[in-house]
Amino acid sequence: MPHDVVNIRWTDEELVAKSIGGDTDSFNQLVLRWERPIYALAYRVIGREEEARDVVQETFLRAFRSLGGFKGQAKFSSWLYRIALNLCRDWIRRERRAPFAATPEDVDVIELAGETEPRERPDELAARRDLGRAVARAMAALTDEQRTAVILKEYQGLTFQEIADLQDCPLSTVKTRLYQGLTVLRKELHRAGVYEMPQGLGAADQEAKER
Amino acid sequence: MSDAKRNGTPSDACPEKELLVTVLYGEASDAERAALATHLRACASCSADMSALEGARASLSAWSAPELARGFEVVERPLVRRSWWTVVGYAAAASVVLGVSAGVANLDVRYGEDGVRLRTGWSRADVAPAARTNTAPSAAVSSTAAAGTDTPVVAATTGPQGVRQPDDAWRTEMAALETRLRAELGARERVVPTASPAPVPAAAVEGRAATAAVPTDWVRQVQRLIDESEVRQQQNLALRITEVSRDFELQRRADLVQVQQGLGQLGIDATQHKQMWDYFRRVANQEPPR
Repeated sequence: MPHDVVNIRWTDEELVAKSIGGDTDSFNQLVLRWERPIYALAYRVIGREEEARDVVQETFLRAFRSLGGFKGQAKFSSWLYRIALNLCRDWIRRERRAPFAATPEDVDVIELAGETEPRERPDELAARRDLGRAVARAMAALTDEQRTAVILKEYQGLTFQEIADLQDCPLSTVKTRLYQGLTVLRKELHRAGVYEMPQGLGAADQEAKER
Repeated sequence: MSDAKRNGTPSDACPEKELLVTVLYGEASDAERAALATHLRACASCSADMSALEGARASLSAWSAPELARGFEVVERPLVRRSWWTVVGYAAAASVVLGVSAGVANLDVRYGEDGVRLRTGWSRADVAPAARTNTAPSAAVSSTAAAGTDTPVVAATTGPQGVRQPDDAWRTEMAALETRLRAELGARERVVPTASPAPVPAAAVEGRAATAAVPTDWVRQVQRLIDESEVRQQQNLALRITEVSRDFELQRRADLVQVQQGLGQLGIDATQHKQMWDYFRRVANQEPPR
């Protein structure tokens, strides 16, 4: 590269255009970018690791096949989310007998590797892990729509409007789902003996243990 | 959050729950935020509600997703030759840059065993050439070329005599090509627009070309210019096209200023650039991805 080159980052839409032209490298770039967010979404919506991985595979497979159908009016990520959410919804409908599974115990190590805070002490880590499991279990008490709305807002950082577009509902409905979802979540956590304190999660776990 | 705080009941003055959510996630206007803050100070019920929401959010951050090993990758099946569409993709992207910077609307790009061939048809009527009264093409050419002979394009280039950076040389070459073509233009009184002679319309990036006849000797002459340039620069050009397509964005931004200046001189509307790009995308969409 010439010495005066600034690192230009292709936009998603540009990568899509190049992929349509047959450039598989560009599509792989897109996959690299969006694999983890799609997996995190599917994992939280469905609650299962293996199935979430399947959703990721299927999402990109479908995306690759129907690249020509991506008109470019919406964001590429929104298009991807929609495919993933549809797959999640299909899976949930198929597996209605066991719609949501809490985090299995043996996932802990992987979880820790995933999102460790810098300079987090082991006891803080353990507390967070416990809280994480409690949250996963509490999420089961939400409706699918509430849970999806909460996940999209909290973990994917989408705007209300983007969520409304993905869930095909009015803006006010999204906010209602968020309100109800968060309220139910908090009630469930209290039932499980988990209380949050302003000063930090360590204190919360400590208080919970004392009860 | 103890229950002692929940001693208020919602009244008519309390806002909709939606407002709490809007403010909670930072998507409220300043006015909304201020109004809610005022209300929360006076209303224990809503205040408790808001704290509950914030508490729930704080807990959510603890729920992380497992690590994902790289699972999905598209692998290109090994081919003897790259798919035509890949090359068209590159070439079309390159031809947009080439076409615009050379000021010539119609480019036919072909990929063959012998490399990449560039052909140019005639550009459009509203190209305003530099005024030249010289009617002898060769004379006009020699005035820009180094020698009096019909050596095509550009004294200073990536040729054996050039010691420039590849990027500069390429641009210089195209700029010189443009100059020559404009000089040729000046040699003619009237400029007649035509459709691209390319039999493969998908590969050509067309401007607003009208379909009219063109003096064939003119076309031949232009093609001869290109061919001669081609013969000397063929390998370099193929390489440049590949590099250009990879660094397309960079070139585009750097060239955009130059191009717009050049376009302004030639009287070409800058929106044509976007049209070319849209055309490429439309055409590419007709072919299913591999």
